[in-house]
Amino acid sequence: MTNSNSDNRYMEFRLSTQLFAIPLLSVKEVIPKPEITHVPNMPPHFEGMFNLRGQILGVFNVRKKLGAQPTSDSSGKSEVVIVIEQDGVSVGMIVDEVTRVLHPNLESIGPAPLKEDDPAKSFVTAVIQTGQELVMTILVSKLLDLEKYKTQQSKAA
Amino acid sequence: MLFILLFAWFVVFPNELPRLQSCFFRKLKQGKKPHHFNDLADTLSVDDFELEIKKEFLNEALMNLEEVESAFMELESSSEPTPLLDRIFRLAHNLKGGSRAVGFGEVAEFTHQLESLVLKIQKNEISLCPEIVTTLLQSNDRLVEMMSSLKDNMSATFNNTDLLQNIQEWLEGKKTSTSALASQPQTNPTPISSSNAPAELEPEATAEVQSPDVAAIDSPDTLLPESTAAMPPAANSFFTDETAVAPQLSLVEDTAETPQGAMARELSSPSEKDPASQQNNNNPAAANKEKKQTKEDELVRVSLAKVDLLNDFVGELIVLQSVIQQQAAQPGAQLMPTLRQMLKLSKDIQSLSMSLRMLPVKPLVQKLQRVVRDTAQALTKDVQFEVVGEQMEIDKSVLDRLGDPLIHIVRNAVDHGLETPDKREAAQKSRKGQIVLSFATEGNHLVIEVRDDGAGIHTSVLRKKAIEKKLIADNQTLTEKQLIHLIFHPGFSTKAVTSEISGRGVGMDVVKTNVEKIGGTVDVTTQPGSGSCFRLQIPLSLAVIEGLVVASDNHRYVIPLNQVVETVNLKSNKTYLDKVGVGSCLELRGKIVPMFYIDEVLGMKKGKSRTDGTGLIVNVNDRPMALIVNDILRAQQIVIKPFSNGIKAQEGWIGTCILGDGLPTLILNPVDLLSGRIIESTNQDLGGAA
Repeated sequence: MTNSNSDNRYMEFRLSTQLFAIPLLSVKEVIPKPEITHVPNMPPHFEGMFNLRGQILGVFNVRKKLGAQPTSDSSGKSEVVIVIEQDGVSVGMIVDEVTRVLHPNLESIGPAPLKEDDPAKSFVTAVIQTGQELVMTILVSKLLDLEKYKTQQSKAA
Repeated sequence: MLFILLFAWFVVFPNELPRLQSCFFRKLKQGKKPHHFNDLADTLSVDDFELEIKKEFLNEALMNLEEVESAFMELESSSEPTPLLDRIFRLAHNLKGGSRAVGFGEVAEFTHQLESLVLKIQKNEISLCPEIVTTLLQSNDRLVEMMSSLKDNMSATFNNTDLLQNIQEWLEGKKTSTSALASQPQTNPTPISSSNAPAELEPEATAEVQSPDVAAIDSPDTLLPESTAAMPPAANSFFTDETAVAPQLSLVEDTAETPQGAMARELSSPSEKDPASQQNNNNPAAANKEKKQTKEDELVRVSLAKVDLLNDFVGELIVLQSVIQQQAAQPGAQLMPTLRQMLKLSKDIQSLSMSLRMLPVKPLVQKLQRVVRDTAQALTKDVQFEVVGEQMEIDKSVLDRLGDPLIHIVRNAVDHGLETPDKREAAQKSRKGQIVLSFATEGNHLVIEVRDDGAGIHTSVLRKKAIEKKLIADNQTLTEKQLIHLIFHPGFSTKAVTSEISGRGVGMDVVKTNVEKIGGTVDVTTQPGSGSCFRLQIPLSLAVIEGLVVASDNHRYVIPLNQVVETVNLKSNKTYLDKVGVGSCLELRGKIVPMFYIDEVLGMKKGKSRTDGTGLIVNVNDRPMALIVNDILRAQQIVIKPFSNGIKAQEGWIGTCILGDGLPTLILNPVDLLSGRIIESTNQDLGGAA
């Protein structure tokens, strides 16, 4: 468990063929992909910004970072955005599909045998065995480099 | 938010505080009217001035006491008392200084004792326990009482012997805490104290404690003859509040005598804290760091009438909403009149909600009056300070950041601008120098001018200095304006010797950066021999601006209207594309204006140099530059939202906003985007063209 809360439910989502999971309590809402405004000069996984009921949120596309290839159904039509809130910062993350809420028992969740040279090792925290599939649980703040933005935000404010 | 009058002053000039205080009190002790008050007589009568300061102080003090109370409460439960104690100490110290300065001797005396007590706790000479917290809370209550009654009657006096005695017993160690709070480490008397204990406190405290002479305390006349003279005789309105105090006192004694019961709760959480965190407690650096991290919420006082009005508006809005709902359900209903009504209402609400952030400039003006007075006294100059438009209200965030720049400008005016009385006489001017501070609005802007009738700025001196400091080349030609703007260069000072008042060359740099931070500009005009004028132009509000919505390819951006000098159509002006070393330029009324395509400036792909589109002419350090966009869509009011939620602010970006179609857009600062992109060639011919 990486989250400080004791809730061990996860939201499972799909990016092309791979399944991932993030702690359910970090998810604020799931919305259909909104119209996104491009922001210049940002890292490649930053897609732009969008208006969520008067709040402006950054939105990330982590497909490349998670090694997922664009597939036929990821043309953008069926994509959804998971709005994640962490340490007072809300951001969006584009995924292909939110599949379900996982409630793994203690035996089915375990440490991930990370490959030493894999860049993903910094944000994959555990694996969940669901029977048919391996679901990677990921640490969103690491994945999106949110720490950097937090300092930026306080500077701007 | 802390004492606008005093605390901010202390923070800005900590090194000057002792000097100012001493000169202030020296004057007062001599029983003379400080002569500056005479100078002020034209704008404000002495009594009004004092009354205003006193009122301001009381209001601030009451707000601060509320804050202290919560800090005291937290003390009991906090595992990290050091930062809390620091805060309390700071507040007590301010209260002491402030009350003494405005002439509330008794309050000063009382807070002085309180301060000594907090200092002892800070130093761990008295360990934290519920009894001491009770005493602190009692003192706090007493202070609130004193402040409230002073508010009603400025000459009220108090009998504080009971509590003072209580505090004194603590100070002398007659009362001791039987046990410490769980988290308070008992064995290190020194480390915290070194960071913020004024050295003078210790001996003074004990000396006064040993003679709790009520008469002495009750007669502030010895200290401040001038201020009390203005009040009715103290004896007539002798104020005692024994009835209110008695029950509270018995409470103290109860706790003090039977500490076990109250203490049991504290003891049940034994000190099992790991040693590392205890170490942290005593490390001033760590405490400071923590202080910085917890950003305090700022407070604004708002008149009840405004809140009521806001409530009325919102009520109306709700009614309108149900009207619209009903009309929408009816086929063929006319929605437009209702929508227009809604539009008007929402504008009303907007302007009202903006006005909630508006604060009067008066406290700032008073602070500046003191700056003028104190600086003039230190330099033995004679100054008449005049203020125009002090009833103005401006946005709190603007006001907060105006203080420093204005203090610097005003001080500079007294120090550099005005000549000594003898020199003035020689120049056939009146011995008394004049400084006029004026506030006015011009369109969407607040314009502040500080005008003096002094010697003015001699550009030849500036030029010599700049060459000396190697800021400009020997043969570089600069316009008068460019020369004057050298004073804003960091580290630039024409003073040969650094004095207490000026000469480090930081001041004007501070002025420029602070004013630019709030989207304003500074301009200086000067007339050698007859004075100079500093003109600050600042947007009235930081939250709403007039903006131009511009388009470039598929992207839209907002550019604040006040930054754009003019717009030109590229087609109707002669353009030169892709010149070696210069790139693309356009000719505007015979001048060469460098062009920058917005996409390139924002670090996106380099497009083809175009001759169509619109150029936004922007002045960057007095040099016009053109930011090229495809089209200007419209001008509209823009509500600025700060960067957050994963969007990283970058150089030249002001914020984000939502346009009419609901899509977010970046707000850009063209001056920041373009500054530094041009290097003037040092060749004389080209320099002249600038």
